[in-house]
Amino acid sequence: MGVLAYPQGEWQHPWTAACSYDNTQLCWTAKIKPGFVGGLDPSVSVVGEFAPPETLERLGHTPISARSLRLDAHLTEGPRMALNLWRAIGADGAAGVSTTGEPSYDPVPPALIALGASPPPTSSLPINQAPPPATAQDSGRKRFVRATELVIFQRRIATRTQWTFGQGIDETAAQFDVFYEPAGDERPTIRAERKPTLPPPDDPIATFLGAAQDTGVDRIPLATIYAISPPLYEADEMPGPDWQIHVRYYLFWNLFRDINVAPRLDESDGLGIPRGLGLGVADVSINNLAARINDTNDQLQEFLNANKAEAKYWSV
Amino acid sequence: MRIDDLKVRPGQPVAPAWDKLLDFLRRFKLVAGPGVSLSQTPDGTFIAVEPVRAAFDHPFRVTAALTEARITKGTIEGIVPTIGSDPIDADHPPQLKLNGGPGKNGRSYVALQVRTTMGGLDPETKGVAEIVHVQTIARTANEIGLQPLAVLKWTQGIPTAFQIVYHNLGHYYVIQTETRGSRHLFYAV
Repeated sequence: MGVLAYPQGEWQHPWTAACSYDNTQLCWTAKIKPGFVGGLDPSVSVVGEFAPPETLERLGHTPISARSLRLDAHLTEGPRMALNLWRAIGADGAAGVSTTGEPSYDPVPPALIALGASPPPTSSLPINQAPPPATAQDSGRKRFVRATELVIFQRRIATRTQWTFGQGIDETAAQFDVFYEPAGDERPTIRAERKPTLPPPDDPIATFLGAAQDTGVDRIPLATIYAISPPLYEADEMPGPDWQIHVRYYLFWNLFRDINVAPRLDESDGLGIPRGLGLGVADVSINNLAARINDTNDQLQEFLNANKAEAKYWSV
Repeated sequence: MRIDDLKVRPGQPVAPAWDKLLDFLRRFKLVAGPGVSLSQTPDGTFIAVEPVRAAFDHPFRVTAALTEARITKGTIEGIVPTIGSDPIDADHPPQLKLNGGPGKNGRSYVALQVRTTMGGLDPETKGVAEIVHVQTIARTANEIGLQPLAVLKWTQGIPTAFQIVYHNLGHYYVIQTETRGSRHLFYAV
């Protein structure tokens, strides 16, 4: 039997992550104060044997029957989310490449540097000559830092595009259609990510060619969790029970959202490519179309923007 | 209980001793009180104790008891809502009856219901902003908007409130068009 008493403190805003080291799972865990998106508390994925009793009861499991499963626990059921995806930042962090070709590093928050964390190396060398990561020997009494991202994902209606070739009913030879896919389960989920993954920028031509499709998932950064080591730690170690946790929040209040389009799901909106543009059925290929559509790029952009499903979130 | 009470001689029925053993074990069942959560795993039970935290008297704070809920003062477009016909900032603040209990998923909502007139909220209109208890957030008419203030999760007939709204609210009514229905947008002010 284990007993955990959270530290007493002041009022906590929604989404506050209380982090503790779990000696059973042998990792840090976060228990998030329930927040809501559109009146729904997000779910987190937990290993069945560590799922809250309320989750097991809702899903009709027992700790033993759920032992090898992963279950979606709602935040109001009090799950403790395992934090296993850490990245090194600071002295032993991996270098990325900036737009100028120089190595770039994740910044270490000034508050952690004030606590003795090792800042990232400063170098103007090109990426292939970036300094090697620090080791415990050369770090003196500096402290190492790990970070992980908590992100809320929520499904929404998704924009889909599709080409249809053939003799159109109104003298069109090719038809470009935009249609919508239902969202399915709109309950948000919270996942931990090793690094922030930003969605690719909009590319109307790629969308037009069908090479890029709307994922239908919105991504809301919730917090970055930093772990700082005791002094004189080995550089490659993941956070243990003697590390300290600091949380940087991006979200403080509950959210509601609105989606800019509410089409009937069984209808599509089409942009016809008329014969007048010289697109005969026989020689039509998508690449051919792409070359020709450059002349009508503005029209295409306007059409796609008008039909693109997007969500806006605000706090209440 | 004495161990001898569990002993059974050959030919004697086992069931009474078995029942005594079950009764004995039930006395050791862990029950989570307020602020305590239990995580039962095959390897043991984990008890988490959360301390009482400092209260934050924000607008529209919902506190639920068995059959009633209290809501602290909040405004929407500067209007103080009512419970029934009594404003929630009255000298003797009205309490919201939690009639109907939970919906099918074990949840219900304390919600702010607004009624628009010509697309806006008219303070002179009776029932322009009223706090209600509902099982689902579903509108019944274009001019009526519902904003959940708190979710109530019901366990064994006892509601626990999870707060949604922490601010006074603004309201914006989006009129119906050919392609979309009307919408009520509530936002923090």
